[in-house]
Amino acid sequence: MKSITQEEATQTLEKVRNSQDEINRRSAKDYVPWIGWGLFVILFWPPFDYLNPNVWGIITWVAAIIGSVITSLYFARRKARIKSQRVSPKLSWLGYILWIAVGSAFAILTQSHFHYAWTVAGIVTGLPFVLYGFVLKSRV
Amino acid sequence: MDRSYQQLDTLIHQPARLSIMAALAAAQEVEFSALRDAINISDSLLSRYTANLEEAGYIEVRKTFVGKRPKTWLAITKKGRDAFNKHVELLRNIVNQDSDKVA
Repeated sequence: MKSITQEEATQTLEKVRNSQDEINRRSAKDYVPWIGWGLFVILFWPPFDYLNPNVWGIITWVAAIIGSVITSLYFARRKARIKSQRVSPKLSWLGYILWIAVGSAFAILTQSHFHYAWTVAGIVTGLPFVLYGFVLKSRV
Repeated sequence: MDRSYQQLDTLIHQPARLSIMAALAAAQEVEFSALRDAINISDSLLSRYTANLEEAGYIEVRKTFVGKRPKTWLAITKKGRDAFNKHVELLRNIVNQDSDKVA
């Protein structure tokens, strides 16, 4: 009776891994927007402490709109071909928005008493998203 | 341990079909052309092998239209996932048992 050798089994498992890696490589990476939007907050909030808030506010809004379009296109393009198993539930994005609201409320309320309010709020608000993104990345 | 091919699911063990099963097990649903590109196989062979797997109840085929263009989506079924996991487990056992002997 024909039998399978250890070498054949190893090669077959390697083939399985390669196929799965290829699919994972081509599917939407859930961690990308978490890291991206976390960095957005960390980078775009601190200038409110140093620059004209009216001007910087417009720049931030434009950047946020461009970022939203890029995020939507990224997922739409990738999901058009591969629907990944690893997609954060839509509710987690609601958590993102609420956390942003809490962070910005903190900065608005403390900016008149504390010069670095937006810098602190940006780091405290954005860092958890970046870290969560890296946790998701490590699971891929 | 009996390492005969009889223990293995021959439908899955065929290299191209195994690649299809492995790829589908890594996603919720994969579009036909994306699967073809990922595992580097011709359209005709992929059609033939997916038909075999669908017949066995290992995968599901769903047809949609984007405008006038037809799109074929493939997904692994529970039966297919169970069979695939069992197959991979069996292969791991063969590899590990021989490694234990060497150690």
